[in-house]
Amino acid sequence: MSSIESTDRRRIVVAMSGGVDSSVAAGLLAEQGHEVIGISLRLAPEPAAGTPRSSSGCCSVEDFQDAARVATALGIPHYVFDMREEFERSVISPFVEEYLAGRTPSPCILCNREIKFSLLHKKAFELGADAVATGHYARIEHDETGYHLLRGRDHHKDQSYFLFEMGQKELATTLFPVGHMEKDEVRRHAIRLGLGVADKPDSQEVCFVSDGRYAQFVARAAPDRVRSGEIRNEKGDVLGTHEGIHGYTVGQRRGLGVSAPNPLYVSAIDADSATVTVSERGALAADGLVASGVTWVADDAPGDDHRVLARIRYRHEAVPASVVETGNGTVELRFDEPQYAITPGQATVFYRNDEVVGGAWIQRGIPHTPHTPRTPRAPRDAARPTAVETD
Amino acid sequence: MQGYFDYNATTPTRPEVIEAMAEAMSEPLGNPSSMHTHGRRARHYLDQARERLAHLVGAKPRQIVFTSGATESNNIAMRGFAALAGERAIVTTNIEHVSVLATAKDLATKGTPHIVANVDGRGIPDMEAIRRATDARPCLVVTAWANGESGHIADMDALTAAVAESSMLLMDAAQAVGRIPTRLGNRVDMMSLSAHKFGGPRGIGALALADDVIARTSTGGPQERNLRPGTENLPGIVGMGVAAELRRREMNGEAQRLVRLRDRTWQRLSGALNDVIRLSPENGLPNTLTIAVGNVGSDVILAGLDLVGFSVSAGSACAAGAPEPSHVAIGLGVDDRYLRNVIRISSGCGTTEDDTDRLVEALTQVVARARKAA
Repeated sequence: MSSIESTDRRRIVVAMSGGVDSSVAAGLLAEQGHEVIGISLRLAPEPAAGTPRSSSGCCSVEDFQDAARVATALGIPHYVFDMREEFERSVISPFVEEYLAGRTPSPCILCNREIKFSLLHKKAFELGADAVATGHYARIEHDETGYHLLRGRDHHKDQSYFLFEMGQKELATTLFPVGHMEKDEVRRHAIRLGLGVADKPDSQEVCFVSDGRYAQFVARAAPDRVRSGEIRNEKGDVLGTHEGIHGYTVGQRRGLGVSAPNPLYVSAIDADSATVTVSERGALAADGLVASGVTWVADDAPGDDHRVLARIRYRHEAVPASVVETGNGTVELRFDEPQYAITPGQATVFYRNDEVVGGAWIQRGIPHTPHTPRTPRAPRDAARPTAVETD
Repeated sequence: MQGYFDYNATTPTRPEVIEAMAEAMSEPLGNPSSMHTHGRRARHYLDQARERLAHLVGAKPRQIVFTSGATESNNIAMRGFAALAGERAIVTTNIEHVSVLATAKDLATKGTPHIVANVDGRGIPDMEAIRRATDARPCLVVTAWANGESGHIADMDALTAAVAESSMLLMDAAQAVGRIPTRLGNRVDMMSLSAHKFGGPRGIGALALADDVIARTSTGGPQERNLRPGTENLPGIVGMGVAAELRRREMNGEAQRLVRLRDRTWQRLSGALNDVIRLSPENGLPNTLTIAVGNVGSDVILAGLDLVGFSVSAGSACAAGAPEPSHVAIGLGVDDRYLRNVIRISSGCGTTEDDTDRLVEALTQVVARARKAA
């Protein structure tokens, strides 16, 4: 059952990035007869002088102009709201802090929680709207037990991972008009509606790092706090040096600058000693993980049923696991099969079939103990660098 | 234009202006520089407009240099001053228009220091700082005759007394011309203005100045005393001349009418709303009421009013059009909790009492709804 009845006309704010997904979201709602208000969010600061401007990111003046053109084509009002200050405080600053702490941040989740489904909701309600729509690939369904967050129909585009912190209150006032579509279908709608953005490429990078160079961004943001250190193996032998732990991600293989007979991967990052530890692939196997700040979409923990399908990063196929709350918002997740490269700072998101039940922020992996009956088999890409993934 | 309260951004073009421009454009006019009948006819239009504008700003016709608007005028004046021989500096306040501040900043990187005299809460610059700076070396002091965001009007007596004899004064009069009396001379060495702020067309303005006070920074033909070479924008100039003439005749009566409207609007708003402050002073621009509403952002008010057909402005907007905290409000020391809530209501000749009453009602509803939601 859809959470929106197309017969009653509502005032709906659509977060418009200028891209095809949010443009079509606005178009479909307008077509259904709703009073649609397009709002683009100014989030990223101007790129620092001398850094190249990305044309495919979002938040450029060109993107706002695209959004304004789409709004004009649809005959809906369009505004740009400046949220740079809040974005700096609640997304960019934590992004830098996480890297400096030896963790790998997930800024899109924070942006969804702090900006799109918090500040924008607030502004929308102040404007008399009763819902906010975005172009996310996820679905919201409603039944007698409440609101449910589901994966987008297009599993390649699915963004439900980035939305796991939404609760009942947010879901009740949110619409994902393209969540039940494949990307191709969305593009066809863009053409049908004459929106002129059908061919725009998807944004791939963190929107506020216009050149995609995260390490340089962190170094520019906190030059005094970047310090070089050593790259060691598990025995403690120094294999090389590095220019700052923020350039490394657990699971990373490329660009380590050390040579060894077998491929080496980052297995741990210690911020206090500025030490990056590298290991052979087997050492990255984990039987589980510990995560904090758990949230449940139903607002309550799912009771005695501990079985979930867990993702440990965005591009990770959900795997069977058991999750147990251990107090203070902390959970312990145990995989049925060992998983590789547990990356502190990333989110683990729990599913049942297509439904998101909750998630939490990864603190550490629980190393694989050898007496586990089955030998872990690592998929070829299991330990590729995760870097930062975006929605 | 019903519901339009953004006259400080731009004003609707007066019908008489449109008519005169259409006539000038449909006549077979030559280039004013040409020595034939068609050229002479064009020259006549040009001279007439120059006289009309000069009359409005108390200048001689030959003291008027037509430009594309006040931004270009400020550039010609400031860059032309910096290009004069000898050690010089530019003095501005901290609440000037971006065309003044950005030009001063740019010139500072090219060797002409930029000295900033900060304003106090009443918009009055630090006169002692101006005195000290202009005593030390020849300076160009640049400030707004009337600030477009806050409506503050310069205290001309205090200002001219503070600027040392060896220095010059450029008044950015874009928001003042045609609204309050403005005159070249009496220590005002130069004056920038734009036609579209007083009912004329966009893309035309002027720099009023005496002979030989600045260097030329553009090269080309002999037009506009070599300060602004290139074939004149004749339709624009004709339109500006007509607007200037209309405004000169109407200004006093219109100013009184707008002050009454402005104060009535404030009286009603402050009666209807809790926690609202007025930033524009009572002795400020007649048409400008700048306020800030506690706990409701400019963005929400602007959008909320637009949705019901009213155009107002926030203090300042970025390139993408998003309201952002304005350097003027910051410079005036506006409390942090109001910085992102500034709304500017600017009226003009098309504004009626009915319009302002309807605006007050709409604004009250927009604010009440926002506060209820929060």
